[in-house]
Amino acid sequence: MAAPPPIRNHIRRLRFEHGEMTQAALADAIGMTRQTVAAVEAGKYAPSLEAAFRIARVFGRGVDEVFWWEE
Amino acid sequence: MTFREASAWITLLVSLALYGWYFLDVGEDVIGGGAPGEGWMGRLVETVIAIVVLEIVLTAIVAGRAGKAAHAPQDERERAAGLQATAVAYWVLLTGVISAAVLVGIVGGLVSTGRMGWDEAVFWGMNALLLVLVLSEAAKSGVQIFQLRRTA
Repeated sequence: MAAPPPIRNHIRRLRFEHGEMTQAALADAIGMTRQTVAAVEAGKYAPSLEAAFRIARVFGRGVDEVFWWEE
Repeated sequence: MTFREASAWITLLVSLALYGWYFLDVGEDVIGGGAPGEGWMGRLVETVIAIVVLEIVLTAIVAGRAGKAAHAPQDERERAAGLQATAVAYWVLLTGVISAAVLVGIVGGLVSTGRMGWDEAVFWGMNALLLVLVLSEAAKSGVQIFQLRRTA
């Protein structure tokens, strides 16, 4: 099985900056399970482009401010 | 563990346990070249009913504990795991059906030359197809669980 792509993110920090938003609250806001949000946050699952936009919109940021490709 | 992973575990374990018991039970009769024992069809029906009832009961219990998460639509990670599992299960099914077709051809040849009775031929044909379905379903649940755990 292929390893997940090296996509990193600031979700944990952004949740903290948004009133210590829980993974469950973020999951509810974007229509995902808490486990999937945890997997995205840990870099174990690369979200779809749509999901990445949805996550970024929750924090009022652009996608590139939330996710980046680590060389 | 999510509701979907728990549900996949239930399908995998219940199927392997009960179909495993069934195949061992009917297998004892034919190992060593013996004829299939009487009543294997009845045992198969009992096994299928037991699997359906057990899966419904266990899934209802897990759904009750999961609350509203049990009724939530699949998200993209769960759908991706399901698609990958279905792709693997398709190849298991395809390979198995071709193998079963070869077996049915051999059995048909034995019947036409009088070396095997119809009852025995039906036994081998039906159980070969059942085994293919069980392996395919087990592969689907197994891959789904593996994918969900790998990305969690």
